[in-house]
Amino acid sequence: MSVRSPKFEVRGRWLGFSAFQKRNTQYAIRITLLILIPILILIPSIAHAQGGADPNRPTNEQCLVCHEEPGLSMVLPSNEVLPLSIDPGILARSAHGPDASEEVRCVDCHNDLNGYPHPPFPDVDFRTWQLKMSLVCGNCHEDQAVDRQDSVHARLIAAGKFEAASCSDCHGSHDVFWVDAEKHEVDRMDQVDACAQCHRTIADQYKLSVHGQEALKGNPDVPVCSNCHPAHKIQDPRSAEFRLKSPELCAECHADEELMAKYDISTDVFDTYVADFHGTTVQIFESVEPGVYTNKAVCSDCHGAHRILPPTSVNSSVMSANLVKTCQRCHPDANENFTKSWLGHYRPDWEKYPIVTAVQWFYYLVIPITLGFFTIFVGTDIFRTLKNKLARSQKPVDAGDDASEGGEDNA
Amino acid sequence: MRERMREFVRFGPIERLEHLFLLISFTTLAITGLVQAFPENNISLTIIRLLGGIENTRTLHHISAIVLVLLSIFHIFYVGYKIYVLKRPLSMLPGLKDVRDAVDLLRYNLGLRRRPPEMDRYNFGEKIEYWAVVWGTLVMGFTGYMLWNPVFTTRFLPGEFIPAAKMAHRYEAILAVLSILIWHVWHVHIKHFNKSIFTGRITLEEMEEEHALELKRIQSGEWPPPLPPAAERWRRAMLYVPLAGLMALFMLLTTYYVFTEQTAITTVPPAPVEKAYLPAKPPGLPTATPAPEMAMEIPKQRVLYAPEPMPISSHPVDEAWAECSACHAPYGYIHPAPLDHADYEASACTTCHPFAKEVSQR
Repeated sequence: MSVRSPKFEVRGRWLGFSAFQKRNTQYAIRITLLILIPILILIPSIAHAQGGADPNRPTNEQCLVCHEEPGLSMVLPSNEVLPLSIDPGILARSAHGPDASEEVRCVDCHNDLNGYPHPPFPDVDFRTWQLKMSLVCGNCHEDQAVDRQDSVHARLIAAGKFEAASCSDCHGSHDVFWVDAEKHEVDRMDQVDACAQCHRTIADQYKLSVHGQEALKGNPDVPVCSNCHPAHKIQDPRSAEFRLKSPELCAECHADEELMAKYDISTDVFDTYVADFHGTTVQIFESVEPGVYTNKAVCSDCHGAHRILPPTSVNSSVMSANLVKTCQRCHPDANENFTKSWLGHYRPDWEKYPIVTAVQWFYYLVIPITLGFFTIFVGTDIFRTLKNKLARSQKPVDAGDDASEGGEDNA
Repeated sequence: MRERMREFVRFGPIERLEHLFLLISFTTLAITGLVQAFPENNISLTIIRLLGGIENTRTLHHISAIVLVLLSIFHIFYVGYKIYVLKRPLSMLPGLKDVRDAVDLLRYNLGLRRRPPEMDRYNFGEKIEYWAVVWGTLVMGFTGYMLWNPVFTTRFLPGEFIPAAKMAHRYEAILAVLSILIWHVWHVHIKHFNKSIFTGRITLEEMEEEHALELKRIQSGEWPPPLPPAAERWRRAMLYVPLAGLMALFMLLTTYYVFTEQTAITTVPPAPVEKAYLPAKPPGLPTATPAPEMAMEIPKQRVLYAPEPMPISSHPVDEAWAECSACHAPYGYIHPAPLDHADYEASACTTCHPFAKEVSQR
């Protein structure tokens, strides 16, 4: 009786989840990477060897002579309108503005527009051109560009899903914003908003969560999107690898005693999870079969992924009154009793779980007593057997019953 | 000397087969179970890998468990048959003599007694082992049932029994394996390799050492006690076999029913219902959008603003001619620039109005 939702299966299919397709995609990505990485590394180093950027290339002022004009735009062959006006104020405030560590000129990115008249605009639609323009980011930001090659967004684009995010979708283009929160005052919610451009539903869910609510208040301790889905390297959260690794992801904060002490949250959650059936299995899968899906629950299956509510909230999926429903998602025949078989991330003690603790103490007593009894017997038996053998080997061998017993008597 | 070589029949073929099944199922259960009890251990992970993953390991554990349960059911009725139909004495039952034997053997081992105690068909060590297996199989069987079928179990028992069963299953397993390693391995493998459970035969020497009392009773003709007459055996079997068969069938059906619980869905838990991709605006629009109403007025397929390149061909552009606005300023005398060029810097002129040669080269 499969409860697997058809939607999930369909979504799995278009991403190429079947083992064969997945392997092919991986090979394709690896080969692409093999070719791309040396190129990405070589091009800037060659450019550098030749003395860096040409100091005589057109300055921003020269470009802005025309492009400062508001309302400039052109119509692309695809009938889309391409705006051509640039607000110099936006450029100046951007991370590529006067405060940048190296001077960035318009033509450094628009390297096909060196001079006027500009060459004819390529016969592509806006998005294709935007994706093409995103490639130039890697000329300076090599590490991020290489990281991005393996991301879920890059894979989707490679598979023809052009709406998947590219550099400028998150960072902005002319208004590219500062990301270094330590040096510049960056609101962490900006990052959530960047993701929300495409993942609006999830962002809305997140803002309702205990993490999102705190992030909205400016709390720096709670995770925003990129803490769990690292930018650039962002993995497909539906992949087996991500699923198996996800408990460790949560544990990064939730096993951190200093951090959790601030909010009076137990740091046992990861250890108690791993000690139980679900966690043990997931851990074994991660070590033995990291690419294989397991139906054993990970954190997010019970707590939710984005709309995580505190267990005290009435709407929380792990609130005791809602627990049956949560368990039934995987255990359709579960009843109220069944939910109590999960110790709720507590270590068993006399007060909370007397039966478990009684069993534990029963064996804490029985095991040493039994094994102690066995060891005493076997130990003395070993001693006696060796002694008898020694006595027998020292005496001349005679066959009679009495002789052998006599040897034992000597001991 | 010839007398010494005499052998006695100790175990029949059924006992030997029972032991073989127990040996195989116990060892498999121990290996596939301990690797789950200590999953962080590298040896465990290697064994799991060799067995083809944790799901395979668990299937193997479950199959061995079924073998052991079937064996146990068989054993119950086989012992019942031997007691009721064949009228065999209850030689495995522990008694006071076993306590005395244990104390005596300990004293002998410590040198406080000259001779080892004389022991009957099953000495106290063998009885300990047999009853330990009975106890262990009961505990492991029932707790294993509960762990395998938690939904079924919690219909009757509080949920806390499941983690309690897990605790018991784990510690009982450790106890059983260590007991076997200490007690069994020492007595029948190291002290001397007792092959009687495989061959069915035991030598006179072994009998003297381990079952001296039994040997005496055999030699006096007192053991084994005679079988009841054939007619009585037949009468008893006619009563016992159908009854036992029915009970065995009932036990097998219960086992089947409980072993086939569907505890959980077999797929990955359903994904969250929220849609992952739902853009706030249609994809493909640039981040810095100019006034949209301006853009909407643009007639299609027409470039609104593209300054016509005006090549400079009538004079060279060198320092003498550098100040373009001297002649070409708006309201200038020669080719005046448009009004909106008023605040343009002189150096910017050639950006749009290149020198004639450059134009021809393009």
